[in-house]
Amino acid sequence: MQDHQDNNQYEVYYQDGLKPDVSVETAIKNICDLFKVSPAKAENMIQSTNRVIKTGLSKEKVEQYVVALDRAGMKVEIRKNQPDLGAPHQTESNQAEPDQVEADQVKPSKTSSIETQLTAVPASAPVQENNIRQAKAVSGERIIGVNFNGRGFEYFKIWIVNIFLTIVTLGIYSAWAKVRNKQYFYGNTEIDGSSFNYTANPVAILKGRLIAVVFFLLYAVVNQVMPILGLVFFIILMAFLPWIVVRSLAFNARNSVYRNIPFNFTGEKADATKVFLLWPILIIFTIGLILPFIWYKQRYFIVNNSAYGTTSFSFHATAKDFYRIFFVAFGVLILGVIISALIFVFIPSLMVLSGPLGIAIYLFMFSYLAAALGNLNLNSTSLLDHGFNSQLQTKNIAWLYFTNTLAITLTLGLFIPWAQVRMASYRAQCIHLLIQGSLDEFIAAEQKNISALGEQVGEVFDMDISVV
Amino acid sequence: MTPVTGSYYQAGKSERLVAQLQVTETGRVTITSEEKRLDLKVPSCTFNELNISARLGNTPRHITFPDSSSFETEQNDQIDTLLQSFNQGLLYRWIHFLESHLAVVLVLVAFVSVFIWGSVRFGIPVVAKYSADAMPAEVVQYLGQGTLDLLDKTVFEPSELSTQRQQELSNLFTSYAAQYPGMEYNFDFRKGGKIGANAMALPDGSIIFTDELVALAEDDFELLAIMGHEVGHLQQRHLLRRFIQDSMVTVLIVMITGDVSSASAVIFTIPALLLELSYSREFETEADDFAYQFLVDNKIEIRHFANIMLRLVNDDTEKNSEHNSPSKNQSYFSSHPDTEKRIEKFITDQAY
Repeated sequence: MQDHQDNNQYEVYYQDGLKPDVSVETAIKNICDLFKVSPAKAENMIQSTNRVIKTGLSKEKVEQYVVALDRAGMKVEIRKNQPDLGAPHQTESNQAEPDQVEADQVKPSKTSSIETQLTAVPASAPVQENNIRQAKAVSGERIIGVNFNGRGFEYFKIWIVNIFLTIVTLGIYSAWAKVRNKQYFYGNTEIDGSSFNYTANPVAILKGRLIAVVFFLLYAVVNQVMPILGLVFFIILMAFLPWIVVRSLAFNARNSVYRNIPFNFTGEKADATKVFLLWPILIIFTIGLILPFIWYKQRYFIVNNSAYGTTSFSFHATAKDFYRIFFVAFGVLILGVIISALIFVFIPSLMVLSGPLGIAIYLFMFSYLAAALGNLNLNSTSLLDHGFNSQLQTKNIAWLYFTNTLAITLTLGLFIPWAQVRMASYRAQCIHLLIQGSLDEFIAAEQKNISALGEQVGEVFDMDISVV
Repeated sequence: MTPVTGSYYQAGKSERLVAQLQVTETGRVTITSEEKRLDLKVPSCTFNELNISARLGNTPRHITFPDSSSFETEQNDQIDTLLQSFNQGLLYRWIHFLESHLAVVLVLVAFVSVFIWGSVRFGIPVVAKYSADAMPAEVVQYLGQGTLDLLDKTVFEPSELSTQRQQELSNLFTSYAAQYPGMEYNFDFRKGGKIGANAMALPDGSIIFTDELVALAEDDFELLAIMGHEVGHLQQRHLLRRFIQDSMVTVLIVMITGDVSSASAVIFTIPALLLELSYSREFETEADDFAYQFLVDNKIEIRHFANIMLRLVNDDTEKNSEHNSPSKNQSYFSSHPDTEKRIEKFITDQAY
């Protein structure tokens, strides 16, 4: 053990059996799919609790194992292989010594087959760029999944009542509808036994919305009657953009509460002006090549100015990471165009495929960017020693977008609630928290009230500022 | 009353304590935690002082105390019973009733569908018509200002018709248009270039004919029929109504879809576009009806309108034949109704 390198000192420990909401049948099926073993072997694996499943892993590898096993339904945790000299052992019950573990395991031949399969798992689901985070050798890191408990039909009922009441109140209820829609997704998102709470006051939203709508109507009319004045209006609106960005991020953060602690956003208008106005002007002069750098700057601004209570988030991706994603997407686009051009030149009869092919390329680009940027943003974010692990996959996102769009079209919009729930469930499934110790230590920051005006102006003028 | 179990969070702290919330008959609320700790100060207040989050599906309830500590529980039904016995939360109980009954939801789906269909078919056009009519003429004239300048710079070229011919047609049009007051008509000519044989009306009363259209007409009465159509657009304030209707469609769609993620939002531009095109076709039909009435009132043979329309279509198909573009059954994607349907009335009703 002494020749273990610093980065190979983790092990996957299986203690408690299955997660409460997972049946044995489901877990067996998952394990079979995951490791390509027979149901008997999978059952064996599930039944033998309190043992080390795999040892001698690097920090990244162990996280991948634990996430994969957690998703299959097994309650596993990360342990450090060899405690420091003289330090007392982790005193959790029945912990087996690593040496005994080898003997404990079902049968050597089976174990090895499981292990070889195990090593194949992370390759198919690579974890993005976790190596930047300091791999601190702390034992007892827990990996916790995000549970999303929303149900499509339940949300459909809430959604249709929202529309109905919005209609009969001539739009006034829309503020309440917004809060209820949002709270449905917040309340059903559960981490470590606690759920999120959206606390925005509908009356505040209504006030902001009314002002924003009047403003918008004015803009629409002016734009129609005197286009020149419309341009002036637009420039004024742009000058307010940083204010809108900062205010809506703050409004959203302060009304998002987890474990009685609201989130917070303290970004300055001056910095927002730089990343949302000044840098984007350069897009024109750089034929868009500066875009990934701007993504990076904006994300850096948002994350580093966000906090959970008094504890700040920090962002440690680099501009290079964003460029990598940008060039992959760009490369696929170019490749797609070249391939389709070649096909049509040599086999003109396939010209009818140009529509579907275009849709396929668009779908891929959109899904790839959503998955890759979503993963990069979360995996590069940390809160003290706690980190995140996001493993969204392009093909799953593409499938969801495609089927959702199809179903929404075929049902004339009635499928929208199911589509939103499906997307939220998938996201939750792919996100894990890496928690050091407990989440008990956070302290709330002093609260200031933020009006909903900025947020509503942003919403009415469709300037979408996504937080996660 | 039976205690409610859940998690208790002290003010400003994220530490989760397993706790029970107990309410007495008189409305006294206390928190008891199994974790006996000296520093733990549990609140005690009256039920009316609590801020209890609304029931929403099966999402956990968050109850905030006056000291900003909070209690989270999944025991929704027990909280509802408590609220009921203290006569609180009536509005949200009613909303939750709507949200959790299948029969209610089915009725609402029907209501919302009928409402959307009704407002798109009747509501929006009627509201747009009345508000457009209420608008003072001076305001309407401002609409679309600069459109002619823009067209002159982009597609139009100066007319190649002789000044004499232009004057002759202008005089003819003005004499007939005079019967529709409330507007100063101004007839003008341009070489259409890319847009070919066409005519258009601008809100300030300008009606533009392209040289190509004038050349296509075999009889000046045909041009007069077209003028009737364009004056119809102006008299009925179609541009303003179109602007109002399109804006209302946008509002309606936003109202229904709420905040949909940007990816699926793309597909909502399609129904909006289809609706706007359908409105545009209705306006054309209205202007045709106006032209019909104009011809009848002035004892001009109505066939003239059909003649020039047919020649316009043939002119178009000749130009398009080399592109091999199929032009049948596209009424959903067209801004004008099918020509055959448009001229039907002008052929069959042989009044004069």
